[in-house]
Amino acid sequence: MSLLSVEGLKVTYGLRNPVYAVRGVSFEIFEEEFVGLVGESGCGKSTLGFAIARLERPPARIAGGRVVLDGRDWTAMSERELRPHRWKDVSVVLQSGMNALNPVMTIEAQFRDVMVQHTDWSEPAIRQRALEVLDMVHIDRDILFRYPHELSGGMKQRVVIAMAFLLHPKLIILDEPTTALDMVVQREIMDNLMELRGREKFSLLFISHDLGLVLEISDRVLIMYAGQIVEENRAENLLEYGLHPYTQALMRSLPVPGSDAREFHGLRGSPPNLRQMPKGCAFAPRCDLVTAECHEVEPDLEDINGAKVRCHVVGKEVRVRGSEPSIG
Amino acid sequence: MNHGRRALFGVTSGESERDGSCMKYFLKRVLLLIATLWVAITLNFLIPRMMPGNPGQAVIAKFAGEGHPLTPSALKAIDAMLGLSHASLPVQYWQYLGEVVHLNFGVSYSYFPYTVTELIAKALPWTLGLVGVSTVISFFVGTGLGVLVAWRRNQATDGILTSIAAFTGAFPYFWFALAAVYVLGFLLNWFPLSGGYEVGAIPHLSWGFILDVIHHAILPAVTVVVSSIGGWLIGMRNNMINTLGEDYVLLARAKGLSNRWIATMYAARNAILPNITGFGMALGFVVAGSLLTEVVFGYPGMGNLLYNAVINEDYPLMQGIFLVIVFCVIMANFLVDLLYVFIDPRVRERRGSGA
Repeated sequence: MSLLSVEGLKVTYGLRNPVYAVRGVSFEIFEEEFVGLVGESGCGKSTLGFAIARLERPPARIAGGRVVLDGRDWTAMSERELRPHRWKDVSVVLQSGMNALNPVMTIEAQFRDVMVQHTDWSEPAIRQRALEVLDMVHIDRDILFRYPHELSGGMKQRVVIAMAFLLHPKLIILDEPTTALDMVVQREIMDNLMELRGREKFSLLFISHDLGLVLEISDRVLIMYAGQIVEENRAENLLEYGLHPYTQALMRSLPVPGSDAREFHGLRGSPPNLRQMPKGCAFAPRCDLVTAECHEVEPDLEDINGAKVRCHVVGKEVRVRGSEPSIG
Repeated sequence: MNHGRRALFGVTSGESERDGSCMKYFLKRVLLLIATLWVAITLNFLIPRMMPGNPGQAVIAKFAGEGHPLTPSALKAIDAMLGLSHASLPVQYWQYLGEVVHLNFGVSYSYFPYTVTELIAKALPWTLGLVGVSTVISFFVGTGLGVLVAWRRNQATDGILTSIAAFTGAFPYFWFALAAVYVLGFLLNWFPLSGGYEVGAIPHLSWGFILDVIHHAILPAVTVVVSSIGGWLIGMRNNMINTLGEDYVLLARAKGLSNRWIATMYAARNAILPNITGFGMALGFVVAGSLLTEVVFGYPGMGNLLYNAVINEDYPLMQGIFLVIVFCVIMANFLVDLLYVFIDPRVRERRGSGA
């Protein structure tokens, strides 16, 4: 059984004339699986991440679907019912670790309150766990009694990651954890996460706009476009080829290690206005493979060779050939 | 990776570093305090002396205007009576500094032969009691309600309380006070119309007198609280709504902490900082009394004293009162600065070791 099962989740902004930021998303995360969620700014990936942890803030609202985490339907539970499960079942790391720490509390106090809230650990056990998680992210134990403003940006982000591990959560949602950091610190944090995978048992939802980063850390990748999953595929397959034209465009924008190619290909146009969605496929106006059907009928997310893709053209092509497509 | 090998808590070095910057911060504040006081005292000396004429001549002119011309020899007597000096400015300044240190602000013109110090000493306790207590009540209740309505923003509590706060905050104070006196004092006769205690009573420590004082203070205190509480409430509400949008509050929710803990330690604790500065200022200005309150209610405090000093052109009294107000405002700011060290850890670094 899967650890997390998202079923037809819809998130809207605003009550009158709502904008659908997440339009019927379904996927699963299994135990100890690392799943990446990739998309460009405004595609709804962060909204989706927050909604899964039931942290959506007004005017955002869950308008339909379910989030089942460890057998419990989080969308059907009240805030009071959710509270005992928060941080134990799912913890989050926010995009800006800089602002995720309370400026007037020491790191120790911010570690302690969550442990006091959810456990009956003794004082020494609480202290012990605080030191353990700091060791896990390779930060000096000294900083435990420091205030956030006394730490660098990279250290703060590590502290936030350490905090996410305090209660041995089943799932950790990382929302752009390295976006605000420089490349060197980003590298260290990614290596650190890979290392932690061997030490702790947890599943990961890694949200980022950086496909390269996501491919590196994930077992499975979800590509999101205009509030929908357009492709779900294993990371190693994606490294070979992307099925959806949008995925392919994203892949073409990545530098290829070892090649001399200095030309990267961007994607023409811009994402659709969520207030005025095109009738057919949301990606059709920017797609190179577009057909008449694409402008009329919205494609479904279909199973193809163990992957899932939301495309009329690629879907048919693969079905007709009945074998793996060759991209030339 | 030598993290494990480090001493369990190498925090001592960090702590002593922090103590050092605290000390520096404190010394800086004290020096600034002394400098500000000196400037204030000096200005208080200079400004009246830059005016044309002198108080002795003013008295002569007043008598002449009333048809009682005085001989120039009387000028000397008047100067002696008022303690005026014709020495050079630096000499006067030195004498003045000596007098200020001994809290001797001279003789009041309008309440002659009372000294300014005596008058202020008599008025100050009344004002501290009335305006001080109402300012403290107003701050705590207003700020507390601000936290509450921000937490329940866009709900009924918020709508009702915030509207009331905006309404009472915008009231013309004198109108409100006069209406209170008229309705509750004059028509309903629930409270005395004016004064700090029953006419003819002699201030002394007894339950009867204390109850009498409280009875007289309720109406002015309520008007002060009602007119100032809205500002605290709305200020706190706005700050708090800003902090509620911060990532650390979102993370606190994700951590599954109790609402009470999030509202106080995460949101209010950060939102209250500007309100504390405002509170320090307000406490400093308490000694100025609430001029309108004390005039409307005939309260024997500093506001009334200042009012009388101004209409009687009693310069020594005005100067004395201004000096006391300036001193208290500066001291209050100093204390708030020190308090910040405890409530905002960022201040220690930024102001202590930085610029």
